[in-house]
Amino acid sequence: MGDNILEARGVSISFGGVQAVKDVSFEVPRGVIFGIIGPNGAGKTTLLNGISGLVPLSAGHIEFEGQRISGTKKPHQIARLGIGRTFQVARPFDGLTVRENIAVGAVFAGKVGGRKHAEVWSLVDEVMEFVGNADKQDSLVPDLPVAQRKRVELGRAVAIRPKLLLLDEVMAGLNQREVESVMEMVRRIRDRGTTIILIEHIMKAVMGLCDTVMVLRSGQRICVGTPSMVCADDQVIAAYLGDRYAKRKADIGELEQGHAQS
Amino acid sequence: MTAQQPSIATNPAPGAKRAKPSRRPLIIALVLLSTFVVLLPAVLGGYWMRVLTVVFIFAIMAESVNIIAGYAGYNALGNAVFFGVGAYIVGVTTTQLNVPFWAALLLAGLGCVAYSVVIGYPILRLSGRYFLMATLGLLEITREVVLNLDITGGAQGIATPVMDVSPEFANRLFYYLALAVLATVVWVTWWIQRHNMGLALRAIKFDEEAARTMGINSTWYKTQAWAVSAFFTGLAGGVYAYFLAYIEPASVFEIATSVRMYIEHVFGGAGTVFGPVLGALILELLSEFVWARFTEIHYLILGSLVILITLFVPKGLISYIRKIPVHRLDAWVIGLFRRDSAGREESED
Amino acid sequence: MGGELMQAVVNGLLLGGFYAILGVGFSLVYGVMGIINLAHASLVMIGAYLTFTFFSGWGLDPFLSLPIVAVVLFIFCWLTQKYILNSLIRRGFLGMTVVSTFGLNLVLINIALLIWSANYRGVVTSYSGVAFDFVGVRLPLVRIIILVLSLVITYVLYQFLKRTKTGKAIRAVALNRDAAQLMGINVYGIYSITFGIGGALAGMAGGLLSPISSITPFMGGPLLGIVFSVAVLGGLGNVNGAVLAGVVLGVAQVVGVYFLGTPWQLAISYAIFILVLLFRPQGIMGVKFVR
Repeated sequence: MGDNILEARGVSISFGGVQAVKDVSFEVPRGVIFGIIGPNGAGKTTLLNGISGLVPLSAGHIEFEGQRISGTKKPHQIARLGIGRTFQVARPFDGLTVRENIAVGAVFAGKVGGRKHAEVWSLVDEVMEFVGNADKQDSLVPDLPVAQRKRVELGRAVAIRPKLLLLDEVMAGLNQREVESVMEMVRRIRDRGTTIILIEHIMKAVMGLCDTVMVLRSGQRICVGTPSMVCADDQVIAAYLGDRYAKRKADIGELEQGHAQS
Repeated sequence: MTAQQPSIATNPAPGAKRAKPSRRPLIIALVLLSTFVVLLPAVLGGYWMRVLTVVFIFAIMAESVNIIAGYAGYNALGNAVFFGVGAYIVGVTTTQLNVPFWAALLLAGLGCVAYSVVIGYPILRLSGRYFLMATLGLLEITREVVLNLDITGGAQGIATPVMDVSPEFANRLFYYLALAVLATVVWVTWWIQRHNMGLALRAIKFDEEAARTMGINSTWYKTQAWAVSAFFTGLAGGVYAYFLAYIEPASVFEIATSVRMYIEHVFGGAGTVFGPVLGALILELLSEFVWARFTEIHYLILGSLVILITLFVPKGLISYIRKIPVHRLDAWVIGLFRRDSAGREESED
Repeated sequence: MGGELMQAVVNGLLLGGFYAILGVGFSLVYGVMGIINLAHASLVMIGAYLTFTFFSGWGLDPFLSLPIVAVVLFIFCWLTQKYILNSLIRRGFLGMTVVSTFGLNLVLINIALLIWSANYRGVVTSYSGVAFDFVGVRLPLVRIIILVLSLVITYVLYQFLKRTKTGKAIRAVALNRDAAQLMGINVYGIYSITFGIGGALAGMAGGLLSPISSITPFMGGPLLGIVFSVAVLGGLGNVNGAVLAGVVLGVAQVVGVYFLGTPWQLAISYAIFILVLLFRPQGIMGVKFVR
């Protein structure tokens, strides 16, 4: 119990008349990299929004470090407890410079600002070094390419020095080299003591980073386990490639077994 | 180079490529301007002093709406409601309750703060377009209520007590009073911009939801911003009530006034410290000139001007004046009030 | 007593239909493009003045001049959108359109002042005084015609949006501008047409208003509150909603005046406006177009 930084029990979220998340339960132990995968529309981002407090749960509850946060805490309070996040479509603050963006994370949820200003800026510099934005301090966000925008958003979340970091497809749209670079960053963030929940489509990242993976389909959890376990699971294959393929694979499997026996 | 008093708004890291702007030109300019403005009454006639007083009052209101609209992104097109409420608080308390003017003025400001907090509770939840229309509706309905109450004198308005001083003295009094309030609101804006609140408001403007997930209590900051805005707008109304010695609902709760101060802050530069003052200065003096010379078509000229402004200067004067993005000029301005720069020049100038 | 209340309710209903057409143009423009047209009430005023001119100059019955007024205002607004407002939207300054329309409002008022002067004008037809008596309730002919025409125009608008190619394009743009563009719809062209229609509707409202109200360049002011209320109450962009909202507002206003007295007339419409914004900003029937 005390080992889990986040626990979700029976979480359901609906909006617009659609049940986006149905009765999902899971635990995230401290210090792991927890992956959430699933086809588009499976409810992954909605689940993250539920954790952040941006959407209300229609059922179930979520606990952070043993304390209930669903339905009782507002988004800014949840952030201050030590949960940071990025968004699926990167949303850094458009009219602020890169430095200011990162400062927001440090000053508010990161609770650094107000008393020790020097601390804020040295933290900002540190974060910028870390995410590779050091040469772009005063650029305005709209002037930056997508990969850089994602780094700004990541830096902003990291500046919170969060206990739990929620990453929503942070590697989408990046090339090979960029993916590897971000993967390395994620590892280092974890090494510094942050637990990470990672929504991702890029299998290389999921396999390479995650200690545990949970699979969602149509709002429901269909599998949870280590990456290799999950990838072999029939239901997961069905979810991604369709039921017919899964059935064919099962048939082929039987066939091969039959061959092996005969 | 170590930071002695770093600001939240900007602070180049040690060894950064970014050059420190020389603050000397602006300091000199501001000192000269302040001296000029303070000494002006010595040479101006009553008419122009009164004109400038009204200009200052609009500048106060433009600066004020700037805090909730330019910075926080909540476009309160109906912010003049606080001008009217402030004017009426002064009007009613000085005539019916024999409250001295200075106390009444303070009450006007505080009364508007209370009004903005109470009404802001439901209204600040509304998004963009709806908030804008709600503030317009608020302005209108407040006027209607004031119009129909007995204590406010209804449609006949209130004649505020005339002070027992000479007209010259009165002119100067109001001139300096308006100027003092203006200086205060500009200083407050500068302070906000320099501290956490400014950063929070701007984050809220650009993406309120993301701001909240970064730990910003947007409700708290929005309420504060509107309260500050209401306070100074209320003060402006209170000064106006005594200045004009007569107020009535139709003239202090006017959509035209409200939109004017909104346009002025945009024209000068929304989200900057000095932009709204500049915008108010230019537009008010211009409109005074146009009204005096072309009375019959002044609406036509002003209206066309407004349209032209939106077409050609939608981002605000300040950003064009220096050809650098608005926030950078602001950062530059603030940087000027900080530690010594050892004379390194701003490269973009 | 009951008879007077009945009269009030009937007056409210008669007024309500008119309120619908007064607000539906504004609602459409706001719902489709997000533009708050502060000049809407002045466009109504111009419509009233044009009607007056046709009436006093050529003896044209105010109701018969409606189509002409509609065309004139359509063209004017179409041009305005095309050359001014579209430019703002293209460059990402949608928020500035409200300021622009404010400027337009000033210009229109001044033009009216110059052409027609500030004197009160009116349109008094030969049948202005005719009224029917129905179970003790007085039904003025003119107001019945206004109601009928308002409903007809609104109905035509509804069918236009529902069945014609342009109408469907307008709805598509309102629902999802980018998708509409990808489908080959000329979004900015649609914007111009929509603003034109909004203007035409405003102008016709003005024409309908002319027999029952004195016409001055400043008559738009008090109307703006009703316009806002109808738009918000009915749901932005929702034509049916506008009709329902107009009726509700009309009845509420007249009945409210009956109980509270005339001075509260405007306060009532603004109160409804604010309450709706606070508790159900999408209006009674919901926002038809997602913004």
